[in-house]
Amino acid sequence: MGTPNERPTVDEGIVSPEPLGKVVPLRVAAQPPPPLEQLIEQTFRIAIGMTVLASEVLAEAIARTVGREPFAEGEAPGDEPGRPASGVALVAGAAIGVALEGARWGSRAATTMYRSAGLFFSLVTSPAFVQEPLRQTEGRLEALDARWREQRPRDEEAAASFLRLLIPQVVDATLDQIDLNELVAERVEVDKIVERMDLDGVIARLDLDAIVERLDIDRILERIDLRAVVDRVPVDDIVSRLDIDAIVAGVDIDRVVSRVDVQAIADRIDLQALVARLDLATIANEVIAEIELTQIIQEAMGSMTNETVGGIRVQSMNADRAIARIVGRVLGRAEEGTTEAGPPDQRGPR
Amino acid sequence: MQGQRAGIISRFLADAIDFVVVIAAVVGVYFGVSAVRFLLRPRTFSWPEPSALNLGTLGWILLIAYLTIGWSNTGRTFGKRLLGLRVVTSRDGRLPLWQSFLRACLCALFPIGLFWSVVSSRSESIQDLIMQTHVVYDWRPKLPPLEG
Repeated sequence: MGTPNERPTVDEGIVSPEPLGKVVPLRVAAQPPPPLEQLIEQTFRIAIGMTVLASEVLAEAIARTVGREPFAEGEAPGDEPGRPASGVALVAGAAIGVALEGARWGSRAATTMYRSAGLFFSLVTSPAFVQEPLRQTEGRLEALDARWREQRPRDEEAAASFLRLLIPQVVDATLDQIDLNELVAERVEVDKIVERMDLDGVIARLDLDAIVERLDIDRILERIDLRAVVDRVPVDDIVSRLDIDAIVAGVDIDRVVSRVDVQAIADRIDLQALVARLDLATIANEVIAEIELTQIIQEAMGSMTNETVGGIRVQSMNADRAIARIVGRVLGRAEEGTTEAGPPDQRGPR
Repeated sequence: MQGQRAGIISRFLADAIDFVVVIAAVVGVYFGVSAVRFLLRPRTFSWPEPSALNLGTLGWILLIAYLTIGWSNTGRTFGKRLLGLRVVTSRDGRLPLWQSFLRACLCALFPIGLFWSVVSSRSESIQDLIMQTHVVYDWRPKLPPLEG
């Protein structure tokens, strides 16, 4: 763009020194105008070009009003310079070419006339009696010019205000006639735009913390249908993939338990309320029914009785043997005694 | 030890327990009769005062019945069951009812005959000698099947 002191040229278009979002100045001073001949030729070119474009737009609009596509698909006038024109288009093109040549010649002629007129004017105004009125006239013109220059900012400001009001309305009216969605779908290749975009750079510029701070998490959560989300999750599939044994093996149960404040948990539990909710009588009856207390008592008593009775039997049997030995010794019998070894045919059942 | 002849101490303890049982039965009969009398004539109720002969007769009858039922059914009374004894025939079988009854009568009439088992070489009492029975150690719940 050049050094900061340079004014922007016509080719650079309107340059806004202000950042986006501020008021855009409607007019920026340009460099001194080019030579007169060039100006006139360019003016003719622009006029001819605008006429051609206007005629094409007009023809297209008329074709649409009768329900026809003005051009075949993928075809546009002027997009195929290699294709020779014919008929009306040939005549029109020739006319435009003639007009352009005429414009060039006309501009040269006008320039020549202007210079000749300037030479003639300088000759006419050279005598002294002509100089004085001219000087007075020039003084008056300069006074008028100075007054205009003085009022120029105010006039420009008024015009700018008017345009600021007018342009948005014109733009709105224009946009109302355009289906932007269709326009974007037809003309914009989103994929190419996305390919060109440096998404990493965009993401790097994002202040995610600020975005998260703006989010109203509660409202988002209220809108989420958690049941529907959970229903979509294939829990069985997930569980079947899990290696529960490996997970459990990785858990340090001792550390987990050491962190649990059992006393705090116990303090929080309202045992009175819990006990009040229990139907202790029913539970007790069910427990007693399950336990079969009678059987347990019978077994316990039976075992005690068996032990006691077994002790009595052993003691009495030992006493029997002792008595039998004493009697046997007194009566001079064999040592075995009668109680322990009777005749085989009289032994009790085994 | 099962099947061997029982000695005097075991048999005496068993008979003593049976005696206590019969005493308890006599007391029970006494209170039962009293209760019936109270229910029939509550106003004129007074505790019955039976004579010693009546009580002795009652006890003797109860003892014979108790021993007969016990020996003819399982070969054991409560006292013998507690001491793990059983009264069996000479063939180690269960006593028939008449044999049980006669042995019970003999035991009730002449209880001291038990002490003959002290000097008996086969540990038999007078009643065992007369009735061809003997008492063995046998605390199995049922009589073993007869051999042969």
